[in-house]
Amino acid sequence: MKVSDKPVWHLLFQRYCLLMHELYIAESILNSVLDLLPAGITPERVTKVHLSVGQLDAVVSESLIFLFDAIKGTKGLPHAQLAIETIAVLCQCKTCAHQFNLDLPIFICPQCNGSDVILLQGRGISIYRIEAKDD
Amino acid sequence: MEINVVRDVLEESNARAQENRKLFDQHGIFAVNIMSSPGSGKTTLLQKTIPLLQERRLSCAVIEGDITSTLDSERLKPLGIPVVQANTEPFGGDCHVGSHMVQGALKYLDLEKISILFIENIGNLVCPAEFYLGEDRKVVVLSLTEGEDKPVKYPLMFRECHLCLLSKMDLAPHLEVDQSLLNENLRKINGQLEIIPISSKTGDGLSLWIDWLLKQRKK
Ligand SMILES: Nc1nc2c(ncn2[C@@H]2O[C@H](COP(=O)(O)OP(=O)(O)O)[C@@H](O)[C@H]2O)c(=O)[nH]1
Ligand SMILES: [Mg+2]
Ligand SMILES: [Zn+2]
Repeated sequence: MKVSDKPVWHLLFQRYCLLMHELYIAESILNSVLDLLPAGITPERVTKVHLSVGQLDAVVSESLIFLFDAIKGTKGLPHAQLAIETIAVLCQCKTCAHQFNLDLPIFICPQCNGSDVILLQGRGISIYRIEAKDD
Repeated sequence: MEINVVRDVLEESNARAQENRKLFDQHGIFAVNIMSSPGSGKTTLLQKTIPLLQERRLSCAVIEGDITSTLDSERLKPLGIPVVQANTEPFGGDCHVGSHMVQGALKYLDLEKISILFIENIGNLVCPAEFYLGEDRKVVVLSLTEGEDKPVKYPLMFRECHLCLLSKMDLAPHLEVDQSLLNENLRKINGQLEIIPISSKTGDGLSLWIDWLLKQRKK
């Protein structure tokens, strides 16, 4: 993945990104915001981007915000701030239909001890609101 | 002003994956995404697996995503099958094979001639788990030397995969791995995960892995 050809990026890539999909995600967020903006609202007016992130997605919020801030200018969204809401993992047991939240990544039904457990919530990354300065 | 929307950030990535999926369907290709930490034995496994599939007259191809140069591709060359190096950063900037990389690589393959396509992902238990490439099955290779706690530390990977190959079983006598704890940890994360212990070195378990592939391909 290439964000820009500036040498600093190569350093960043090597230092931090070897294990980080956050950069790809930061770039995808910015592209999506540009795509979602209604006609007449220029990217410079965007002040906040609200993102929901499933807890299972293993996204490190600090890294995502750091990288988002680092590249937002190159995408023409210099004033955009990223606000991240984490969505807890919610499961349902297929054996006894019990629904439960997970504090730890243990996908076992606390009611019947069954391990056939499906995920209802807690996976996926989406933008749900964009704030922009009024004219 | 506020603009309320719902936009999956990985929509673009998933759209490319769907295009890959369509190509696999059109050409009857069974695609397997192989993931693991660096050094768990993905390339060695492919070196051992492909001849066994060739014996069964199944033509294979590999999309090689592992970073740093084309070393893994070189290792696969003697098998005489098409191997395409995914276009990753030469200095190791990428953390996962993306659906667009698979799409790019597919252009170099004669899809009509492929029965089973392996995608060797970049060695990493975090990022590759996040991205759908259009594959039929996801397989994680976990070597015995990595520790019993890995499933719990990387839940998404073990949640997403259909099969876990426990590799380097030949090393078991030299290690002090609590295999029942490891199995228990795998079950905690994914009760539906199939587990096959293998050794690419001795060949143990490889026939079970081949059987699994053939069975899944028919599904
Ligand atoms: N003892 C033993 N070593 C293995 C086995 N499979 C792979 N290795 C060794 O583990 C190292 C990394 O293997 P490689 O296939 O390159 O791993 P990859 O990074 O996942 O592709 C190499 O030195 C292999 O020879 C196995 O079944 N048993
Ligand atoms: Mg390899
Ligand atoms: Zn239950």
